[in-house]
Amino acid sequence: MSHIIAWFYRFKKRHPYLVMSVLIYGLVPLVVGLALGYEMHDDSPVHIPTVVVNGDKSQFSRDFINYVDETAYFDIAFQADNTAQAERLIQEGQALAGIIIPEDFYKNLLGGKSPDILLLYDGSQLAVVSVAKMALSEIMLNMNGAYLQKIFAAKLGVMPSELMSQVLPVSVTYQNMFNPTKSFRYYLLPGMLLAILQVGMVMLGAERGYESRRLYARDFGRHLQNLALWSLLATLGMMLCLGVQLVVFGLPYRGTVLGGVLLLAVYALTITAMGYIVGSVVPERTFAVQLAAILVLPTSVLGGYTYPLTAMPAVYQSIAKLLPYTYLGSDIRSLCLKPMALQHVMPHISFLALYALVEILLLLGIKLLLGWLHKPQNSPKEAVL
Amino acid sequence: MSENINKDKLGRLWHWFEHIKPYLILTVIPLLFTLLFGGAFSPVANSDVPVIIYDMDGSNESRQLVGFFADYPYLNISETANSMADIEDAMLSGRALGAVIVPDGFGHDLQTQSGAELLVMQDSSNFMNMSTIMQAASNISGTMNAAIRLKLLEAGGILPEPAMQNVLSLSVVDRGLYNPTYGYLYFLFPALLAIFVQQTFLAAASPYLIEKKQLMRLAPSVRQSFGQVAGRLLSFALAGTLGLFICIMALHYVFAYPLRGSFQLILLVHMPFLLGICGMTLLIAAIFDDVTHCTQFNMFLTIPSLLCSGYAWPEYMMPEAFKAVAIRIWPLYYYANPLRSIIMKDADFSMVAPYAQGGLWFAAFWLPLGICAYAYKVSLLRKIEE
Repeated sequence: MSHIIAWFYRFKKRHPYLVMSVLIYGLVPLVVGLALGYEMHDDSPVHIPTVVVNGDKSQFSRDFINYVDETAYFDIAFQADNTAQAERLIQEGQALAGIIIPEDFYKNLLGGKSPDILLLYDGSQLAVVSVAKMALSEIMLNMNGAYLQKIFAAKLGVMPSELMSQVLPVSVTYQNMFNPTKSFRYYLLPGMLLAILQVGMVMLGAERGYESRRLYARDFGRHLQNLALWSLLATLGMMLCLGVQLVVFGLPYRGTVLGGVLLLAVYALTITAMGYIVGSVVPERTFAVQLAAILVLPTSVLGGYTYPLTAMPAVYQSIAKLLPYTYLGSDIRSLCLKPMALQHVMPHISFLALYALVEILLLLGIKLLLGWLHKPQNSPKEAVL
Repeated sequence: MSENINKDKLGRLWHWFEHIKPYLILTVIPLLFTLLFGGAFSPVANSDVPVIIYDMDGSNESRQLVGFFADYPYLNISETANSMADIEDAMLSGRALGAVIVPDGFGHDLQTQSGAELLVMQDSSNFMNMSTIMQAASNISGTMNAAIRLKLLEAGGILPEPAMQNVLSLSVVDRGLYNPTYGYLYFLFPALLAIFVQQTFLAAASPYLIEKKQLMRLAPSVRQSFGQVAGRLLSFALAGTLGLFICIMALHYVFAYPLRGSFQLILLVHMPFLLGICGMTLLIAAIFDDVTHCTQFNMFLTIPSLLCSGYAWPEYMMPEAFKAVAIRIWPLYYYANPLRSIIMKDADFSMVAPYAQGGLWFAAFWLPLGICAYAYKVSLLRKIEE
């Protein structure tokens, strides 16, 4: 055993780039993609454990509870005696939603007394709340419609054929575009997986930048070579990660393939160059890597991928416009879910390409400045790759 | 001469910075991130969601309806479409996240009481935007319907008060327990706090352990060095704990985050987590010999560890086999989930104790393993050196 460890230790020491490249661009995308794809393969929260307080006991309320239980979204797992008990079950995390039907509910309903139904949600579980709220709203809307039909038939003597148009003078048809099953996995995973990988990309960029810091402007071709090679590897890593989702877990991909590849390639260049610049100016290798990682890690949150930019203060919206991830996260999800053509994704590809160009020019400026400040001491051995 | 003095000063400054860096990482960095993310999530409403309108009818009624959508506080009517192709293009390019289509004859159908129809399309690739648009359409159509029904009932000879009761019919009251506005800030921060503790501990302790390992390779005796390692890890743990409470205070006082649970219960799950993460850090430091590569590996853990902890994706939906593995190879499950229950739900001891117990079991396995792996690696390096 110790021989194997010793051999691995020496191999890692002899081939650090190979080991880290395989780890970051091969192993991590594969393992993370498989693990998270498997974890979320049920797509959306269903069978939400629900507690019911039925103070009414009428046939109507029992039918209603059965109806809720029969939907895929809810599992009436608990019957509580009162609201406090129901809240306790939610506090303990045993139930995530609650339906409280008050005493004499049906009697009051028939008497036109507008009785209250109380719906409780565990607000600490937003993924569950978003699904539960939508599903229960739909159920309540149907129930309300049925009730109003009875009222209009009884009190106004409206003919059955005219009932619907009087009960619902304006009927709304909702069409869920692009993600009709409301899959939480489709919503979360495509961009989040790339958010994980971008951390590796920027860190390797920083490491390469640090190692090439003694190559100045006259060796700029070597820097471009470095950027091109590591960006290519990063692109392949991202494609591998998404490929796992497509092939193994059936993630759809409905958009332009060319647009997707271009987006990934130009994004890889942007992020690698960002790390490369950090590595070129920070005087310590590990600190450069940490700093580069800290630059991109928050972008998975601040780029508006899960929490929309429209919900952030204006200053954050302005900052988000300068974050490359803002243009990747939502676009890669859209490419998976929407039949996007090249023209739809091209504005963001162009922006990222411009971003990368500015970074390369900035790198050139830094190298010119550093070359002017220091006497060039580079030797061919220090050239990286 | 003065250049040498400046270089010397810079060198000393850098050395001093290197010395305090781990403690800055453990206390200041989480605070900065708390302020950054807290500011981003502080508004609790999703406003200005871009929506495109296609009014095919052009009647007074349809214009009134369009006006309701334009006045709705959380929507931004960014465009007016002239065809379905316009809508498709706007939604595919992301310029619009929803579309309201008022069909031809809408006003006529409403006047003749033959049931007017409205089509609302929402981009469901982002749940928050989707629910904002659906909620808006539901509120607007609900208000319009109630007003029309009221008129019909009154016209049918029913007095205004009973008519109003019949129009309201069922009153559905939603209550979001522990997070009444369903704010992202309240939901996400317990997880972020847990991640801050985890990542800053890894970032502070791993470089130290790797460098110490290299020093121990050459040291004549390692016993004293192990004592130093234990002392330093303890100081990191204390600084990490301080960092956590600074962040909690900042959240509370800067962003008015309601703190419901007790600090004692937070410590009850915090301590086993620190022991567990200490074991994992020792193990990682035993495997890696290059500080930079170890840092790269640690940074990678941030998002996957959170997504596998049962926090974002509900625990009850995790496949059993997956959960069994996830909670045995990384301790965040025993920390992020009870932290949420304590901070948001005012969980009591009985709710938190199983997590604390699980965290202790985790640490009881991984901490000795981490110590053994680290000690073994030191001895191996010493052998290779010989």
